Amino acid sequence: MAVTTGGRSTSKPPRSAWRRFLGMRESGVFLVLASMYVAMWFVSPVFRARFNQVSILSQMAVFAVLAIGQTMVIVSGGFDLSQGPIAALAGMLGGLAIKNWGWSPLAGIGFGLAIGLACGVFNGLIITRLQFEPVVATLAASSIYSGIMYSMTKGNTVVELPPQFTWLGSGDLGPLPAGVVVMFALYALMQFVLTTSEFGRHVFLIGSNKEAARLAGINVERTQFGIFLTSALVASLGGIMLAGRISAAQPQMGAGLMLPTVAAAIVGGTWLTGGVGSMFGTLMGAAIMAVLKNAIVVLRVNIYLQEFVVGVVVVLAVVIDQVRRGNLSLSLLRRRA
Amino acid sequence: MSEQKTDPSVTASLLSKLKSLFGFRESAVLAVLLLAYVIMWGVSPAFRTLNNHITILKQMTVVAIMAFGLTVVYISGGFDLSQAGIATLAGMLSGWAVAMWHWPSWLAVLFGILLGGLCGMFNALLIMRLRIEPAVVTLATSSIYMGIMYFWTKGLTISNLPAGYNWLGSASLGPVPVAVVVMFVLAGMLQWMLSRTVFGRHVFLLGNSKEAARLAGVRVERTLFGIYTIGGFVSGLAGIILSGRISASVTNMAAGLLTPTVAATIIGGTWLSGGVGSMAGTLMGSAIMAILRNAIVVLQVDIYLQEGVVGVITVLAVLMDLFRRKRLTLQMFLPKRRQA
Repeated sequence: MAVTTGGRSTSKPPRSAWRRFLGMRESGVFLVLASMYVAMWFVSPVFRARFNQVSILSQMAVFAVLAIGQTMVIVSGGFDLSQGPIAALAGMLGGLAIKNWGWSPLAGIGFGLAIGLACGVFNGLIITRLQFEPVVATLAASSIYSGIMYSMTKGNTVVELPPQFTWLGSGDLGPLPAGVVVMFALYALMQFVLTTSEFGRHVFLIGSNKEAARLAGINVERTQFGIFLTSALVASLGGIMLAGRISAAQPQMGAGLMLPTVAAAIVGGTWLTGGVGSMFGTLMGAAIMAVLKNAIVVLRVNIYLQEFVVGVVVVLAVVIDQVRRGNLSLSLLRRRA
Repeated sequence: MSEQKTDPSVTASLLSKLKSLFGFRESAVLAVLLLAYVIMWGVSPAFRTLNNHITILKQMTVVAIMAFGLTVVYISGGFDLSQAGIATLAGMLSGWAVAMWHWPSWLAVLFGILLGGLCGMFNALLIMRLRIEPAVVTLATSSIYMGIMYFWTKGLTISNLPAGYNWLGSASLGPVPVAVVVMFVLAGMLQWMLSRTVFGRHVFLLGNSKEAARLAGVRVERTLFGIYTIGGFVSGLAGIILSGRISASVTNMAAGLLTPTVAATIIGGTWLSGGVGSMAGTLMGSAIMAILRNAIVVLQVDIYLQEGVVGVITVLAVLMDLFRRKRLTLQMFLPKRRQA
């Protein structure tokens, strides 16, 4: 089983660049993304417009940042259902601290991230110390986080956030939106961490075989703790970016984040059984989801179909994933039990 | 002579009956339920009214009915995140059928329940044929169901549903709401199915060990199909009761139901790892959740805390489950003594 993403062709004789590209696990995802993009480019003039390209990128930034955490969690063999509520809690309380308690914008952002950190510690503790199943733990924790959020904000929307707070979501850094720059930087950083650090190697090993990892002397609990901490932290950052993008913090804003995030990770080639995945793949998966969502708007398909399409894409991605791994062949589909 | 002989055996059998009552797996749940009930009875006069009791019973029906399906799923070692989505789809489209297509109420109700069953079958097909994790399948399908619902209704609220349609959700048979009767009947039927039929035995076997079940000749795929289909049917029924209760179909009507349903099932003694669970336990778990929810209202605790409290209770319930399964013991928390 492939443990790291690169380095597969090192021992083989040199091949042409094209062959090497096709040998990479992410090439399929890349081809899908490229063909979708090219098709949209020809079909729709609105799609080609510069503002639309920028809006695809900045829409993608929020859930792509969350997908960093989700990818790590799935690679390690877990599942995180609490990212949406953490994002909402961090965005809401960060905004609340600024508007109602008179904190400075920077302190508000820090507060939001600190909340993410605290949620991550809670998730990590109940999963590693109390041995909760990740799905159940994060489901219960979601409820707690939304409960805290609702009881502190009474369900109100926090509006008129200062520009320093919304900079991450709607400001610019050079020619690109700040959030997009943050996204690329984080992806580069986490790809580096996953492929070169000991922690990264442990994440893959735990996902491949937890027992073997434990026997090999890896501190499984500590690694899992780090994974869920990262996941919650990027979720809170995503929440702050989201609040900045719509320049208001709404209680429901985390609700729609879950599915595109999971979709980005799975479409990007992360194995649901753990052990395989890459940041590069997830980034392209997120881009595919963003182009898809944009296509629904630009081509004036019924907007209510958006959620349906995302769900179908997730199912398709999982099916492709299963077929690729040989768990599923077409004959299996036909065979009666 | 004969009297003296029978006497000790009678007391012995009485004793063993008492013992079996306390050894009964659900007795802990029953104790918690009674405790919660007695405390609330003592603390709050508003709680004691007959009206409030009927409210509690009515409110617990939807969660309980969905939790029955979840119990079967959990016993088999599976997971289902799509119940709320199915309930919304069934409630919305059946309301739509009555209001927009002028279907007779009984047909619309039947349509909603069948639609729920169909969704459950779709879940089952994906899970067994494509061999995908149930949690992921049902997460994806729940967005498919919600997507279909939004696509069809454009997010409209359908109000003023006819009395025939609302019968399941808001009518009463004498003093007892219809939904409560449905809940108890369904619990009885499903319990009978679990403990008296071959299918029920297979559900338990599957939860104990899928491989062993397969080797023992259980038709795993067919059993899975039945399990998730039941999950879909009860969710469809819950959706109809939900919209019948408020006489309207609203797009977000089932939004907060997932966690209380999971909590009710786990509190009721169903093991998350599969193989153990009962309808009586789930019924009591749902009653505990309903009393809790009622307590927040009656005691005028901050209503916004409700969801947080449900979350905390779920964490506690899972903890209880882990201790019960000996996955977690107190020794594990003592320093230096975790492993030899």
